[in-house]
Amino acid sequence: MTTNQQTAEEKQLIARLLARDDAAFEQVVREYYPSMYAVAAAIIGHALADEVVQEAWFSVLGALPRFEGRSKLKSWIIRIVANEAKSRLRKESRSVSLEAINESWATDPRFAPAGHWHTPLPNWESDTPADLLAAEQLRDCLKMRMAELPDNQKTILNLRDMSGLEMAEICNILEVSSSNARVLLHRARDKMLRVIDKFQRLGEC
Amino acid sequence: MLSCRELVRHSSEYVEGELTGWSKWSLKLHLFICRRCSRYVRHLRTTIDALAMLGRGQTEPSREFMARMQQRYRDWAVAHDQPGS
Ligand SMILES: [Zn+2]
Repeated sequence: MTTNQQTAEEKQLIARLLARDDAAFEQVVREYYPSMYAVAAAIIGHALADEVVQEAWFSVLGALPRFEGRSKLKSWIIRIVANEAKSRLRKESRSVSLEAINESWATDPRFAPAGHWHTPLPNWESDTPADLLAAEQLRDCLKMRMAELPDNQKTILNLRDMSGLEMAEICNILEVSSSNARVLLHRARDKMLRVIDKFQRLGEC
Repeated sequence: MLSCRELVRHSSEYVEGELTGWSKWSLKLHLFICRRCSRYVRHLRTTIDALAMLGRGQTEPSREFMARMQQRYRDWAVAHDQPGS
């Protein structure tokens, strides 16, 4: 039995790309850009990310006639961009480190020494994502605080929550253990939650 | 019993449905009786959804990038046109 995850939609898209359809190409490049860029930037940094995405697309086009549809097109493309970024990184003989740093929950001032809440969160006035993000100030604040996160936390938050990649996929591309990735992700989310909370309480960043 | 601190620490795994067996049940049980932690978990879900929403509007390719891509796509197309095919 063959497993074929390729959807009719993907098949049609591939056919259009191979038939030199400019409009289809532009559309798919735009659609995948945020995820591809996030992966490339995570591995090699922002300065070279665009270049890596561009090179990855030409590897994709070259290999497309042989794409067998055993994985989803997007996952396959994400792997290609990750490999492209890594080989680039090797050429520059730099390396990325995604070690989880030990920020301790044990000394978190939100909790009393015995582990119960010392300063519990209040209810939020806006309780839906759309309501929250209606405030431009909060959107800017989240982006700013996100940029200040340690690189490893920022990368995983970006790939998982902003770009919607699967955890397994992320661990695979970044070559990190899933326990490590989980710790980093939750740290980053918890910080973003506190940014929103502060904004809800005080109206400031 | 699980402390609030421990619950908060594992709440991402909980909301992503990655916990199984006893760890899952001990979190569920704690959430059933602890309003403070329930609120934390609710806010965590909202935060995750807000980040996804924020992510949808981010990183558009620049106009130069798209122009370069279109050019290279056309070059690629020409290079791959086999005579007679
Ligand atoms: Zn609790």
